[in-house]
Order: sequence, then structure tokens, then C-alpha cells
Amino acid sequence: MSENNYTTAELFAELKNDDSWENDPEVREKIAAALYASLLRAV
Amino acid sequence: MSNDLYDTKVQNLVDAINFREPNKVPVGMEFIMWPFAYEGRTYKDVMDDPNFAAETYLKFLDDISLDYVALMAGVPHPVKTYQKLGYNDYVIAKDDTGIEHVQAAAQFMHADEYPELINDLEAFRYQTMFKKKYPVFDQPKDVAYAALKEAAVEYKKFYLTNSLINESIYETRKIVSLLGPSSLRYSSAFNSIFDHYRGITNALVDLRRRPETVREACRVIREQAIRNLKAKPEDYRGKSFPLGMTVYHSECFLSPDQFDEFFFKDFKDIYGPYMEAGAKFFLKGEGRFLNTIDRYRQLPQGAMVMMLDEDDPFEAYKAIGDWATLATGIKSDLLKYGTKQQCIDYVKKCFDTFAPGGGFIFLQNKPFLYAKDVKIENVVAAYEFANEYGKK
Repeated sequence: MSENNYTTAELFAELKNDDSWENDPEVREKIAAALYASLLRAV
Repeated sequence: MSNDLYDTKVQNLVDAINFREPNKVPVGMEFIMWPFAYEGRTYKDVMDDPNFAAETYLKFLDDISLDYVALMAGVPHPVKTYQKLGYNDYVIAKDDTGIEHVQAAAQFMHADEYPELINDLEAFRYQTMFKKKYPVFDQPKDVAYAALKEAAVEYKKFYLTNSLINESIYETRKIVSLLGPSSLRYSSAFNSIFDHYRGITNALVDLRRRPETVREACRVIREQAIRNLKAKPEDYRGKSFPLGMTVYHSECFLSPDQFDEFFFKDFKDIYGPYMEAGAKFFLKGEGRFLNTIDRYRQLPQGAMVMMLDEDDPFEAYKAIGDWATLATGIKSDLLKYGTKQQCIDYVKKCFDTFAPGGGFIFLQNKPFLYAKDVKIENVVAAYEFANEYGKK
């Protein structure tokens, strides 16, 4: 997952710190973590 | 509602699955997307408002009393989230409520990729397959990140909806889940190939054209699953509840010999010791499987709780009713096409046959998936009767 000079894990780390899609940092962290786990489970 | 109610429901389940007559035969249901349609709405109508979606979903529980939920309640797949990431295997059905798995749209591995899977399963799964499933992560970073943000916004609605549904079902209404967080789960190695890596058609063709390759891939998948299994049999000593779980997917397409090789041998070898210690498993059957049901006599008596699908429960009872608990009691086609009285008569016949001596919990034979899967008045009548008739 490192082609295009990024990894999926890096994108999710960025998502956790990005308040442009969710203001509440706790919710942001919880949703980002749950989403990542959900995507991994589906493969 | 008090914990006494919850404890009573659990005790009835424990009694029933241990072949003791419970004070009340536990009444359960497997429901997925059908509840959204209970009062004439659709999932599409409510999916963008988690509070309204959960309220809509839960409405049927005001009219239908349940002791337990079989498997998972709520929305099973975050369809819009997946679509933002280019994963289009799941779509909202034409009834605007059910969720369909469209295998024809799925991106599976090619047969010539088996060596890559066998050589490094983790890398193949989390790198190669991940990008096949979510092609947006093969795009430049700015494109992938923009899509991921949109996916996260959609996922929040899905997550909140399911959180509200589960909180109400398990914490407020004190309905019991058959499965716990530490429940054992078994899915055969071949099901991973069938469901995730190759898809139904390719996997079954592979069994004929390259059986040794399939066996080798199954070996690798099985070894990984065993490494991931942290619990020990002694952790389950004397713990017959909550249940472990296994689900048939490929099994009804396999010959009896293939069933033995690709499903039952691993189930018995890996989980038999847990069952010897006291663990019990819920089997969600799919299709017809009376021709292999006798295999379960190789496991400890009482170790299995079986949800039937298309098989006749009265035939299944003759074949295995003294050895496994049957989770049965009403057929979905009767709930859809029958009259209220026909449904009640069938439920009564099931209780009269299966309930004496325990080893019976009430459950329909197919999950309620779509808006028109069943006639609501039949469901209400059948469950009302089951809840009353099953009391001592």
C-alpha cells in the first residue's frame, strides 16, 4: 500500500487529525478507527 | 427494564440448549433490513438521519416481543461508504430497503495469483486484495484522500445508526444476543476463497480444475486462523453461553466428501476441544444439509444449536434432535404466503414436537432481509402465539 508515495495507514492517520470533515476529535478518532477496521474486515 | 428480565432470558436459553425444559421456550428472530419497512418506510428514506433511521428500525419491537436476537441486528454493510471508495459489491435493492451482494461486480483475484496468496497471505490480503476492493487507494494521494473523507462522513451515519439500534435492543430492551464479544467464530478456509478471494463461481471451478492449489491455499488460510486464535479450551470450561458461531456459505454447494474435507474436519479438529470443555456453537445453516447433518454426532452431545434453512425441521429432528438443539419453528414462505391461522398451526406443531425435554429454541428459517419478505400480520400472530404457548 505504498505506491503513489503514500500508505493507507498514513491516509487514516491524516483523517483522524483533519477537522474539515468532523469537528469533535473524539468522534473523529472513533469513526476513523472503526472505518479502517471495517474496510480491513471486508477483504 | 431490570437485569432480572435479562437474566431470566439467559437462563431460559441456557436451559433449552442444555436439554432441560426452560420456563419459557426462548423466542428469537434474525432480522437484517426488513425492520425499516415495518411501518411502510424504506432504508433509503431514513439512511441519512441516524436518529430517525434507528427509531424506524426499532418500531417493530413495540409489537413483537423477543427473547434473543440470532446473529447481528442493524445495517450489515456501509453501502454508501463503500461506493465512495469504488467498492461496488453491495447495493441497495430495488425495494430501497434490502442490501444485495452483487458478486458479478466484485473484483476477485485471478487463478494465477494463488502462488502470491500462498506465499504471503497477509501481504496478499491487506495490500493486493485491499486495492482490488477499494481501487481509490490506487489513485494519487489527493484523489484518494478526498474520497476517504467523503467515505468517513457516510460511515459516521452508518456507525451512529447501528450504535443506536444496538443500544436499544441490548441495553434498553434487554434482548439477549446469542453471541458475545469473546465468542468463538469458525469460517472454513474454503469459505474465504469462496467469499473473498475468488467468488462463488471461480472457487467451485477451482475445486475441479486445480484442487491441489485450493488445498494449499486452504492450508495457509487455516494456519493463519489458528495463529489468530488466542482463546484456549479451558477458557470455556463450563461456559455454555454465549454461543460460538459458524455460518454455511459454500457448504451447500459441496459434495459430502468435500464437506468433510473443507468444512467439518477443521471444525472438529480446531474447535472440538473447546466443545469438550463446554463451549457450544450456533450453526447458521444455508440451503439443504440433511445429507451431512449426521457428522455432528462426532461432536459432544449438545454442542450445537442449529438454524435450519430449507430442510424440513421434522426430518432434521428425527436425524439429530437428540444430539443438537434446533433453532426453528416457522417458515418464511408461510409467513409470506400463508394465513395467520396456518402460521399459528405450524408454530404449534413445532412446539408440540420439539419443546418437550428441551433442545429447542424458536426461530424462523430465513433472515428477514427485504421489505416484502413476510406479511407483517403473520409475523405478529406467529410470535404472539410462540411467546404465550412456550410458557410452562
